[in-house]
Amino acid sequence: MTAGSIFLAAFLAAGVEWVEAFTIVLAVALSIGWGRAASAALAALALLAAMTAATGGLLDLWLDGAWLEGAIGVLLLLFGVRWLAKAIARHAGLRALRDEDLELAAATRELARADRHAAWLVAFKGVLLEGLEVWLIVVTLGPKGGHTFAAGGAALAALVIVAATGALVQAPLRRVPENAVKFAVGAMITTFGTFWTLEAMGGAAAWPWGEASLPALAIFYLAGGLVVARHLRHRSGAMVEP
Amino acid sequence: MTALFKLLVGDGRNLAVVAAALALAATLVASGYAATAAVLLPLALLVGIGWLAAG
Repeated sequence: MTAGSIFLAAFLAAGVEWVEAFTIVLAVALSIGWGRAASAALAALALLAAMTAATGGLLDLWLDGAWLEGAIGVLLLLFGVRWLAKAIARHAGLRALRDEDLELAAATRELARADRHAAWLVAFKGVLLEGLEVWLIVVTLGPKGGHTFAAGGAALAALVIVAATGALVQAPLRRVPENAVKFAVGAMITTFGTFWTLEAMGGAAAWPWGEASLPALAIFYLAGGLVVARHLRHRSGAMVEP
Repeated sequence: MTALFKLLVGDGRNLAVVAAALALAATLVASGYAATAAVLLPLALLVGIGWLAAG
């Protein structure tokens, strides 16, 4: 397992979550100003950072190797399977693609009835809820093999890029191919979850090719996911935008 | 807390897919077929993912 693959998975996953969080912060900023919206976002980020430090440390301290591997493997499977299924459904045209402009409009409508305090809370809650998924990815991908720094650094790098881009354009970041990224991240997280869970159950004998199995698993989930999406699209006759 | 639980576990269908796939893998590993589990676990998960996506 290389730190690079952990970094890439965490960076991509965090990137799409921060894009979604930015849309909420933007709506709040248009309502109560950038200063207050940014303070709400920073408060949520501080809470997430504290959670990451605390839970990451606890995972390292309290669980031995096999338990840690099994526990985080199952969590990754629960998370990755969900992401990949949603991305496949969207790719197949069975679910609508997320539209940041529509999300901004919905948030703006909601904020029209809110006072400043309520608007601040909307930004805080939005960043916190989107950030919880980032927290989960960092604390599950990080501890195995001592890659918490790589996973946390990736999430932070994605945050800086999204925040800087958002501050520059001051509009929803609609050009980010969210579903394609979620498809890839779902496959990667499911790959790590599959590998670690079975290794925790069966030891090294479960994977005769060791960590060389990881790329094969990732390709299997990516290619298999595309085949499933194609089958579902054909079966439903849904129209899918290119 | 509900949001955190939903974040960690997802819904019942998601939980059922992962639980069923892991039960299959655990049975194979306990029976001495760990290498077979390495093939069937990803397959079972992909079938489950397809079922979730279709629903």
